[in-house]
Amino acid sequence: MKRSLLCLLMIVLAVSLFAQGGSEAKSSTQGPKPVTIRVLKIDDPLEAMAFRDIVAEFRTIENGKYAHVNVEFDVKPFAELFPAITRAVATKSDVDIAMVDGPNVRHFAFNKVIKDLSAHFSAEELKTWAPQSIVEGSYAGKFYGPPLVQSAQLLWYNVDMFEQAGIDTSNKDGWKLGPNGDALANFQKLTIDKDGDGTPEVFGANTDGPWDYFYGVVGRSAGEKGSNAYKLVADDGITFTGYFDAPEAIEAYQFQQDMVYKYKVKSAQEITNQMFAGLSATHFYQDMMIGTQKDLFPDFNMDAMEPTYWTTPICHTGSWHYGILESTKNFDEALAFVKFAASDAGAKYVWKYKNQFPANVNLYNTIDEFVDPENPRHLLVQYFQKAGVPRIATPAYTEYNTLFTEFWRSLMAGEKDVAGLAKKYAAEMTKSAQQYKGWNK
Amino acid sequence: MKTRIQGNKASKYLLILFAVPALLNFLVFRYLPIFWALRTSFYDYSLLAGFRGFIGLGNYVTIFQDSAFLQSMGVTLRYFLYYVPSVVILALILGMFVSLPKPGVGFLRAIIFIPVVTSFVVVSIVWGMLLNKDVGMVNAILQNFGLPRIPFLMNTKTALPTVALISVWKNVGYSMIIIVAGLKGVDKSLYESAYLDGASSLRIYWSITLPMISRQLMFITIWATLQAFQSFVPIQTLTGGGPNKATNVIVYHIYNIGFNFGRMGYAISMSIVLLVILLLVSIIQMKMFKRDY
Amino acid sequence: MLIARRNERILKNILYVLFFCLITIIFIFPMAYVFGNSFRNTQAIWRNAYPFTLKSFFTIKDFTMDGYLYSLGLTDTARFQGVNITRNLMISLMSSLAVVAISMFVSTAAAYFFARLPFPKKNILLVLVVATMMIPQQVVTVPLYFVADFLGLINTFWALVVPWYSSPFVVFLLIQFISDIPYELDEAAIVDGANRFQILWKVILPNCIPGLLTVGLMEFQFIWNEYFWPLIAINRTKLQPIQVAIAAQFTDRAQNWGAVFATMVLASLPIILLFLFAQKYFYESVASSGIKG
Repeated sequence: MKRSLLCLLMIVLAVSLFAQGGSEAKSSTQGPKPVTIRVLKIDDPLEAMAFRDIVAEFRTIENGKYAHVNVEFDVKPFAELFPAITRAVATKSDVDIAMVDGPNVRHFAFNKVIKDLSAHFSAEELKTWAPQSIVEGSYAGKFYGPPLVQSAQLLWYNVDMFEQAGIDTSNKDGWKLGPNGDALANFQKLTIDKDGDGTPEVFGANTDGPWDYFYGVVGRSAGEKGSNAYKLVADDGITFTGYFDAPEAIEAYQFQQDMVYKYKVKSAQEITNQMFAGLSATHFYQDMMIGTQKDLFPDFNMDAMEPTYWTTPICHTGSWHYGILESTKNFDEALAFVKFAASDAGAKYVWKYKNQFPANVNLYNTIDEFVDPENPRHLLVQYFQKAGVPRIATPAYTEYNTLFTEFWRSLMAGEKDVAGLAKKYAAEMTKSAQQYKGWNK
Repeated sequence: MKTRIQGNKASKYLLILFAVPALLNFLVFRYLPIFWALRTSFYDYSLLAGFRGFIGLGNYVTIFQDSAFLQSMGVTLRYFLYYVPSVVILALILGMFVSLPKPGVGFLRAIIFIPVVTSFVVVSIVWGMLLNKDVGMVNAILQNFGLPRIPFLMNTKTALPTVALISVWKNVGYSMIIIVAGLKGVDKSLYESAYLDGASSLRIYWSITLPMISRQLMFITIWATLQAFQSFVPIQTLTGGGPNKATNVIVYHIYNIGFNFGRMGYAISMSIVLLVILLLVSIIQMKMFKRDY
Repeated sequence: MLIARRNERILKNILYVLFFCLITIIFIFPMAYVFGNSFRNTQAIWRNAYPFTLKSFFTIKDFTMDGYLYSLGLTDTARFQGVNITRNLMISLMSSLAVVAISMFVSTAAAYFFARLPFPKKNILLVLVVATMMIPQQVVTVPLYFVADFLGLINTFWALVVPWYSSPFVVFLLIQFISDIPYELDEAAIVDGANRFQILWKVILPNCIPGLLTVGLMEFQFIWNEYFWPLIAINRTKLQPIQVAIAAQFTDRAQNWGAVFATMVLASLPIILLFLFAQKYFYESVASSGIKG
């Protein structure tokens, strides 16, 4: 018995010594010494495929100037990426490039985590990407990194359900929200409760992840362009009181809650694949819906229209940006890689596998799906240009988003005093942003 | 008089070699981090910005005036009160049940244990789906019986007990096994003589069985306590501390403050306070079971 | 009188069956749901998920092994995306086994030290050891990361093993088991001229096999289910243990639920089998040695 335990131990130790063999890609033996740049990014199998091709081509450009460069990817789930980047910085680990969520570019730039790249991108080069992307990737007038892709949202819908409810889809304009708007009337037509038990089998509207990307627009849409509600935060980027809880915004939050509890056209909790599973008639989401539908739900009959709005049509834009960490020891190679990956040549691969709205102007102006007026992607580009705004400019975005998520969850849970809740969270957001005072001086 | 092994004083000190590998592990991987944490708690530290300034006991003073911290401790205490008695009592009942000489108990033992070894992340997601107010199966069943639907994870009153119950469901298997092992060691003849003496089943259980497995009971209580205070995954996956901070247990709160709000020094000082509290709780629990170690 | 006894027995049997069914449903249902859905593709899962009816749940059509093939890296997409659950399973298996194997020796030696060996101020040392169990993992993880980084462990296989090769809780438990062994056995060995090491090897170890099994199983399961530490300590996809690999499948795009469920089944199967296998041996040894488990 003891002898077998000892043997087991020996075997285990021996095997584990072999288990940690990772395959380091070896480059050519002549020429410059092999350099490895490490990229910290979100875990996404489609992006993984895209980057495989990007790296392969990167090593062939300019007559193989970068053939000696290995690119390794460290991947994290979405919720863990931000802490992972902060940890990498704190331990001065050898990460060279980090994919930073757009609104966080400011946060990292403020903390001098990522390098200012203004000197390395000419004005001509910057035209490669949509202006909204440039704004998102900048801080205090300096440019910190080009975008991976872009995004905007549309209201996707189940064509069959719309037909059955008798809704006219010839006009793609967005419906107006509010107790008297046609959005409510249409959602009510689409909500089906056959057995009359009070719980609809099909909801008119769907519910998404309760964070700022999807629901930050609710309050903003309620204000006129340039109003406090529309801005969501003061120009100093840290004062939310009076903006997040502006009176029109509170009205809009209240209505969202009413859609769940009073009019019952929306579910209280998120339901995965709600529309594709036949549980909602519409879905407010980015253009990734098209890829999902093609891959997983090929029989689903889907189209899109402009999203709902209160006073001002609006949708959030933005995506990941490439940021080069201050602590990098391989700046030249990292810069070259970033430039290539974000260029039209590199972004082409991301489009190929991920099928998400590119940030490269040339791409979305030439790809068939975006140019064809019948295709929903064309509508997406139009809406992006008409109503797309980046998320709010604040160095405290992570804090704000965490608080926003809490606020929205409580709202969706049926909190009775909506105004009080909004005011409370506006105060907390302001408080948590105070540490960044003077950030944009 | 115990027989002792002969040896001189020098060899006595060598005896610690038995424990040195383990002690080395604890020193490097447990104490060193704690000392680092303790030192950091005296600074205004953020992961991104580094050490921003020495503030001595500043963090600790803030803690006791911080309503968010006190609220979170309150939630944790309530969670503890939902979780620990449930796990212990359920482990006892199930342990007794699967020790009966009846057909199928092996099967029961296995299926109760299966949740223990499965991924908490996926388990949380599955339960989240099952408990959904509109489309979840549990509510569909409730409605079939004419009962009202309950928004388990969305209601400030039900969210915390629901998360506790999910954790109980997942973890009770292991405690149950410890109880079963303990019950196997109880001498059956004790039961027989008590039964012949006319004692009722309940009396037998209370006066004979429970004391005989008191060591196992202590283990599972302390184990459940530690788990209750470290509960994190279901809350991060299902509720994010909500709704309205109803499930904002202390570990989640600390994680939030440290990683999302960038106040690592403050977060660490809260954990030191938590450490002290847990120490006291464990000491009390051990005294309750009247063992001195 | 006889009829009353028979009625009592019938009642007890009915109660047993009822309770049995209740437990089975509560514990097995979510797992059965996952298991059943692992054989469907995503579309079929959502077609049958809501609203729930017995018919929709138990339908046999749409059976597919795609989920499993994808998980195991056997389909084209999987190969392209570098998905391969067997690699993650091996990592988890190797790290769990390594920890258990090392701990078996290191922790037992330490427990022997605390339980049996005379040493000045031993009790204080023990209190220090036990105290480390109290600090919540999330907080210690950050400084632990720094320490591990300093030792060059981060992003290597050994990050999963070295910080855990011994555990205070394990040592604490083993102390209980060893204390249970009657000192007479030690004395007999001393009289025969054994030194302390031989006592450990020949007397203590054989007599606390149930304890070792319990503790070994617990440690194995702890490392197998570990999520937070590997999440931050390991960045390379190739080195991810199973729990992290599962969580990583939840990207911001709609995921392949059939594959997710299949992964979860594959992740739980080895450890369930291990438990079932160990269970038999465990109960036999407890019963035969007559020592409280």
